Parts: sequence; C-alpha cells; structure tokens
Amino acid sequence: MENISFFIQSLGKYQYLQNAIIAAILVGIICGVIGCFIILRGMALMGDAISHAVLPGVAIAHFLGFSLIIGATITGVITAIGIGFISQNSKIKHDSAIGIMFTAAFALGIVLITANRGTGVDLWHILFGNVLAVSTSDVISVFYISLIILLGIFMFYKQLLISTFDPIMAKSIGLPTKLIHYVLMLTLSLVTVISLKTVGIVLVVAMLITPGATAYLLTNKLPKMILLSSVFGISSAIIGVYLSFIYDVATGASIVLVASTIFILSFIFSPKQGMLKNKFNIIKNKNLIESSEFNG
Amino acid sequence: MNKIIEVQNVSVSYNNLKACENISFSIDKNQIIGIIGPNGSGKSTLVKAIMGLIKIDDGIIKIMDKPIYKIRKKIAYVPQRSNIDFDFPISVEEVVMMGRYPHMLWWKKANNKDKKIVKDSLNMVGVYEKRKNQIGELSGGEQQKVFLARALAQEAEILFLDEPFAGIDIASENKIMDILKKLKKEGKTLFVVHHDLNKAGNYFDIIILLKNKLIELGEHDKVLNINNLEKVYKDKISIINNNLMVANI
Ligand SMILES: Nc1ncnc2c1ncn2[C@@H]1O[C@H](COP(=O)(O)OP(=O)(O)O)[C@@H](O)[C@H]1O
Ligand SMILES: [Mg+2]
Repeated sequence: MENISFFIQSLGKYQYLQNAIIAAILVGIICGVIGCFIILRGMALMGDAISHAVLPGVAIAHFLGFSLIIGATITGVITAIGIGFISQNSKIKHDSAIGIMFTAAFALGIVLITANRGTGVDLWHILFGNVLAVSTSDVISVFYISLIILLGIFMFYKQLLISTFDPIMAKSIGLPTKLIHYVLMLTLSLVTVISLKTVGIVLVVAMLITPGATAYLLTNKLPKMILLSSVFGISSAIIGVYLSFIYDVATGASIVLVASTIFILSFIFSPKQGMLKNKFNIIKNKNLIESSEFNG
Repeated sequence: MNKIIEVQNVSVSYNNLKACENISFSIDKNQIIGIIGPNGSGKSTLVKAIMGLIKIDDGIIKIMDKPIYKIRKKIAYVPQRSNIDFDFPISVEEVVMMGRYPHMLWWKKANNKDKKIVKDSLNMVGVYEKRKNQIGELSGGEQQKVFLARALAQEAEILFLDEPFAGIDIASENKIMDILKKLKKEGKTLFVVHHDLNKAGNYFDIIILLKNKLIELGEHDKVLNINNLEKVYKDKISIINNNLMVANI
C-alpha cells in the first residue's frame, strides 16, 4: 500500500515517469492488437525477426540524424522482402530464411554501433530500452503512430481477417495478399520503433505475442481476443512500470515478466482450455470409462 | 460461346518439380466436373492455376472468354479442409459472411441483404442452428457444409471444391452432392476435386483424369477404363464382379 501511494505521488511529481507510463500503455495497446494477427497468422518468429532487423536502420538514422522511424521501417521491410525472396526462390524453408536474414541484419546493426563508439548511441539502451529517456515528444509520436495503426486495422478489418483466416480465398477474390503481408511487416517495424525506449528491440516480441496468446486461451471470438489482448498489454505496462520503479529494475523486462505471469495464470486457470480444466476432463473421462467398463 | 473454361498448354512447376504438364481442355458450362487423380497428381495445382492463384510457367487460361483477373467475383472456392485452421477464433456465421466480402465496398459493414443471404445459405446447407458456434466445434461434415455455404453466399457462377468429401460422414456427403446438383440446375458450373474413384461415376457429368498430365477427359464410361486407370493408379486397382475398384489412398 505504502509503495503504491509512493508510486502515485512520484507519478504526479516526475514528468519522466508520466511519459514512461503513457508510452508503455500505448505500446501495450498497440502490441496487443497487432499481436493477435501475428499469432493467428503463425508469424511469431517473423515478429521476432523484424523487431531485431530494425537495429541497423535505427543505428544509421542516429548517425546521420534522420528519423528513427524511417531508418527502422527501411531495414525492417528490406529484411522482410529478403526473407520472402529467399524462401520463394530456393528450397530453403521459411523459418531458415528468417533465421539467416534477421541475424544478418542484427549483426550489421551491432557492427555499425560498435564501430561508431563515441557518437553517443548506447547499444544497451536500444536493445533493452531506456525508460528514463522517454521525452514528451516521444510520447506524442508514439501516440500518433498508434492512432494511425489502430485506424488502419479498424478500416481494413475485413481484409485482415480474411487474409489471415483463408489466404487462398483472399487471393481468389482479388485481395493483394502480398501487399497486406508487407504492410503488416512495415507495421511491425513501426511498432518496434515506438517500443524502443520502453521495452527495447530484444523483448518487444514478448509484448506482441504474450498478451495475444493469453487472450487466445480465453476466448474464441476475434474482437474479444483483440480487446482482451490490449487489456493484458495495458495491465502489464502499468504493473511493470510500477514494479520497476519500486524495485529499481529494468522497465522493459519488468513489463514482459508481468505479461508472462498473466499468461501462466490463464494457462493454468483458463475455463475453456486451461490445464486444470484439461486435467479435470481427463479425470472425468477416466471415471466414465471405468464406470462403463464396470457396467459392461 | 458455350465454353466456360478454356485451358491451353498450361504447365505449372514448383522449384523445378512439374506439378502440371502441358494441360489443355475446354469445358461447357452448367455441368459437374470431377477432377480425379491420386495424391500429388496436381489436382489442387490445376485448380489454383485456373483460379489465378499461382503463376503458370506456360499456357493460356480463359474463363468465360476473359482472363481470370477480370472475372474473380464470379468464382467461388471451397478449400481443402486440411488447409484451414479450425482453432481460429471465428464463428460459423462469420465464415459464411466472408462470401459476401467481394460484394461489399472495402470499408463497409454487412447490410441487411448480406445478412439475409448468409442466413439463407446457412439454412440451405442445414447448419443454421450452429451459426454462433466456433468453427472447430462442428463435425467434419458440418465444417465442409459451412464452406459450401460461404461459396453459396458469394453467388458465384463457377465453384471449385477441393476434396469436399475427404474425411466426412456419408450423410453429409449426400447432402453436399444434393446441393451441388441443385446448383447445377440453377445453371452453375461446378468443379470437384476428388481422389476416390469408386463413386465418381454417379457424381460427375465430365471427368478430368489427371496424373500431372491430362490422361483423359470425357464422360465416365470413356474415362474410367482399365487402360487409363492403370496409367494413373498402377497397382491400386482391381476388378471385382466386373466393377473397377480402386483402393483408397
Ligand atoms: N506449395 C508447393 N511447393 C512445392 N511443391 C508443391 C506445392 N504444392 C504442391 N506441391 C507439389 O506438387 C505436386 C502436386 O501437388 P497437388 O497439386 O497438391 O496435388 P493433389 O492436389 O493432386 O494431391 C506434388 O508433388 C506436391 O508435393
Ligand atoms: Mg490436393
């Protein structure tokens, strides 16, 4: 209780904390929403890849002084195109193509940054976030990017739904399924950029996958899954920032651990597909079989 | 012109593996056409090529005298059930509503006409009571009917069904076949991919027998002779009481 009131007091006092928590909440919402589509498309690995692949773009943008957003989307999308090209034009399987391309991009980023030590770009902060550095203008750009992504999802919900559920039909009625894929990859790059300071490149995939997967266990309606997923994203953000403030640990990791904890709880207790429910069913079935054996 | 589909010298390959080789045929409208051949004989590939879903190496495909991309709305597709994720968080009704998407403006929601057509389609195949269920909660036969209902809702002229009878109960199979016959009476053209020969005779007006190449096309009696079947199924056929039998693969 004491901790909570201390946190709330500090929240009123420190601008950086306000910025951090608002940015984290926005990241929680947007990752939660996009994450549902990533999960349902079976693209968790792709999400991981694209988030890592923004590193060289971010580094170059830092050195040359242009927008991180532009740098990140360029290398993110180039990597996605490279992955598609390799897996379509050779017998290399998709997951291997992902493994080859994103590690290459990531390594390039690390080389670029370590070759330019002294320019003030902190590799650690890009990889794991630096919540103290969230400025008000960061919050504003996070807000606008989130708004645009959410609006896009709202307007193209039908197209996203059908190309996710049945890509063959989507293509057969003339939807540009490839374009949709690459726009989604571009969105992933954007999401990584806006998550850069709060969770960082390495852990952002957790914010994409874990809240969505949690929601997936709890419902079988997509709109509800999206809503629940962003609620879990928001709760992880708030609780995570709180815990990192009180215990003085890294914010991104703290947010992710909260999300993981929520996942484990729902994995165990989910009324539909949870472990306890399955256990219960097994016991019930066993009893049924035993009693029918007994009767027969 | 009565020819609804013309395929000329079409070849398709995946990384050097030829799935369809130099296939040519044309089909009159208003029939039920069976595309038959063992697993891996290029049936799905041929269908995808006709529907313009994959690049063809060579050849020309025309539907109602037009290239496919001009005529997509008129073609509906019932996917092979194994290609669908039945854990997907979507209800029966929502799946069928997808059939209306080609008729909706891209940002618009379903209107009353769309909803009525979805309802009628669900009723026609007999899964209306389950419209709120998640698709994975249905039996295999019911799932197949849902995807047929989606094609009905699309109000297409030509339907492609990929292995609609695989792994479903006989009652559902009969029901689906009844609906296909009814659609034919309404003037539609239906392509049915099928790998089980045993019932092919009663189901299809025309049979396309495939083994990466076109082996034969025509009516049942012309196509399903021992000569052709040996080419296609090799050791899997036998003759029992003067009836050709093919072991299920
Ligand atoms: N996407 C693909 N990539 C590579 N090879 C494929 C692909 N789809 C099908 N094939 C191959 O092409 C051949 C024909 O496949 P398909 O058209 O699915 O046959 P069928 O539907 O008759 O079972 C098979 O050898 C199959 O392994
Ligand atoms: Mg097939």
